[in-house]
Amino acid sequence: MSHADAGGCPEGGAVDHISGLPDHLLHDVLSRLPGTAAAAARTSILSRRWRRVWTHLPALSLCERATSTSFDLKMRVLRCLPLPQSAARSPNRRKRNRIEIPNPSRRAASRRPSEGRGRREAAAGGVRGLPWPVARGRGRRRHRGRPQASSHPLSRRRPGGRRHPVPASVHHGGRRRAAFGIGIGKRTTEQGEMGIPNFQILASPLSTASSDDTTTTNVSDEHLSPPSSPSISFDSVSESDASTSSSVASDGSSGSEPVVSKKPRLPVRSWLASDEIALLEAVSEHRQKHGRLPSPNHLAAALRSRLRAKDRLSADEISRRLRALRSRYDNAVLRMSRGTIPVKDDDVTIYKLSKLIWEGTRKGKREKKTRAADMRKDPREFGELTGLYPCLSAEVEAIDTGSGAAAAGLLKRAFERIGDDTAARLEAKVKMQRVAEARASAKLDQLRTNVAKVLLQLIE
Amino acid sequence: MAAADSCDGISTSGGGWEKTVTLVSSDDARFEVREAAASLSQTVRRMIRAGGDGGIPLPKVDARTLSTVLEYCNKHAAVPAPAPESSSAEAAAVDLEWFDKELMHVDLATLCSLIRAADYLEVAGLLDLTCKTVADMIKSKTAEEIRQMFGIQNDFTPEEEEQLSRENAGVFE
Repeated sequence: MSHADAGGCPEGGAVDHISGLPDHLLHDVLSRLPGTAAAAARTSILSRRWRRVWTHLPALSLCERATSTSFDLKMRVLRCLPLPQSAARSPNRRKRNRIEIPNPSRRAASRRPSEGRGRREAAAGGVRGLPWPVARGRGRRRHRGRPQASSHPLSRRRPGGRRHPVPASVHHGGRRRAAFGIGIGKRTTEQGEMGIPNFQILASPLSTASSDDTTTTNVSDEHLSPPSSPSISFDSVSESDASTSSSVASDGSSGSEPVVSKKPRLPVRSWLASDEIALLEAVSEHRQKHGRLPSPNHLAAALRSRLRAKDRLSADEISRRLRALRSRYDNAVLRMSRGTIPVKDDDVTIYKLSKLIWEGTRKGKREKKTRAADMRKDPREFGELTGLYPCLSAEVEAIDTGSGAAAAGLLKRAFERIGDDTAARLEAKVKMQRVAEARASAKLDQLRTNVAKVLLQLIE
Repeated sequence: MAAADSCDGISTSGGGWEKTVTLVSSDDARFEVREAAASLSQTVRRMIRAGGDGGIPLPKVDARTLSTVLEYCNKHAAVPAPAPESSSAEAAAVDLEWFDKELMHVDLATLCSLIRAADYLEVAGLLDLTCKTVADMIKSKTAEEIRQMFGIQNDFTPEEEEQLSRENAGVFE
């Protein structure tokens, strides 16, 4: 509880009293701004000190004006929120933020952690990551217990795992605000892999009444390019790094329910939808121009300036993403055939672009698999075939003699009817196999020579 | 003022009809307070429970701030448990609100030290009150107005500022 954790106090204790307050107190102030995150965001242009303060608010409520259109607003606000460099770079940490979307139809009390302890613990968790509410509909699951220390006091989770929201008045000296919107809860866990900021979206009524109908979606955002987070140092590095080894067991679930953490992770959408769209656009553009799909290297070059995530632009990354998009498209086609259509604008756009690029291609691939051997009406002499396809003929001979007396000559005669396409394909394969065998035997010879040398040395 | 309130300033946990405790500010001013009032501060409450004699040291709060905090605590602790529907309770609530408002008529430096003190002492109500006051000062003001009001120095370069406003144009409409 020291005020020394202020992180970015202005130098020399100027007359500017308010900027001298520690971050968590500024958060207290900003979180009491009526209604909107935009109001808090406005403070970011005050000075460097204030630049990032609001982005680390433990609870950020975005005003909901119209539920259908406000998603756009949220996205815009959230897009302004930077992700810290360290979140993406440090390999041992995974940050997890929770975005809570209370049910607007109920009267929700404003929930803010006022009691010092819980808040500070949350702050000490050092979440500098930011939320990204993508893929809301994906992989819902009910979340159970959490570690008390890192769970945000907002959610008031008890070890049992159930939500027990405390009436805001308890912590607010009788003040209540009706507010619905997104509360961004902070939470840090160390998942020991990849350093992906990970967000859960819970749709939950934060009213004091029913609180169990909470669905949680895991969303992660691995590629948001995180700007450095200069002045705010809520991170308790010691905590997160020292506990890395033990964290896997304790993370993601409270001590009472360690089982949860062992569950396989849900698939996560790691790219921004806007980036995926940019990628697909680039591909389809290239295809229209050149009539074929671009190489990943080419794509990486073309996309350099167009993606938000500038640090993830390796050709490898892009081709992996393309494959993922491809399979997503295939799944979408399947779902479409069953009557499920994508809902979100981004998904629709992605689907349309994917369709432009890949429509019909999957079929071609399947045909290839079921290609039958072509046959000639007029059989050729085995000798002639041996001249044409020496390797293949040798194989046929071997099979024929291997099959025993019963089928002797039968297979050989069948071979005489082989078509040129099939024969050429098989010949190539056999050749490849021969070459591989030759290479392997050469290697084996070399190895033996080496071994022999060593043995001789040992004798000497 | 707060010291005057705690009338029977005998000593720590005086044997009168109400217990008192002594709080010692950073500049060694001693404040005799009813325990009920002091217990509004979670920090003090913990210290009372932990025991100790010769007053509770609060090295992070100076006398001036502490007196204001205690004024708040005395007032709020004095209010009896709310009996709903009674006109007197309502009147008390109104009175309390008015008191809070009056208490917040202070300059910025005091307000900031009150916030720090409320945070350190963990007086939830006061923290809420002070933060709300500052939030009210901030709300519906332009950045320039806020800077002027709080004396915040704009340390962005003109280019940075332009970029910021461009970036944020979508959000702040």
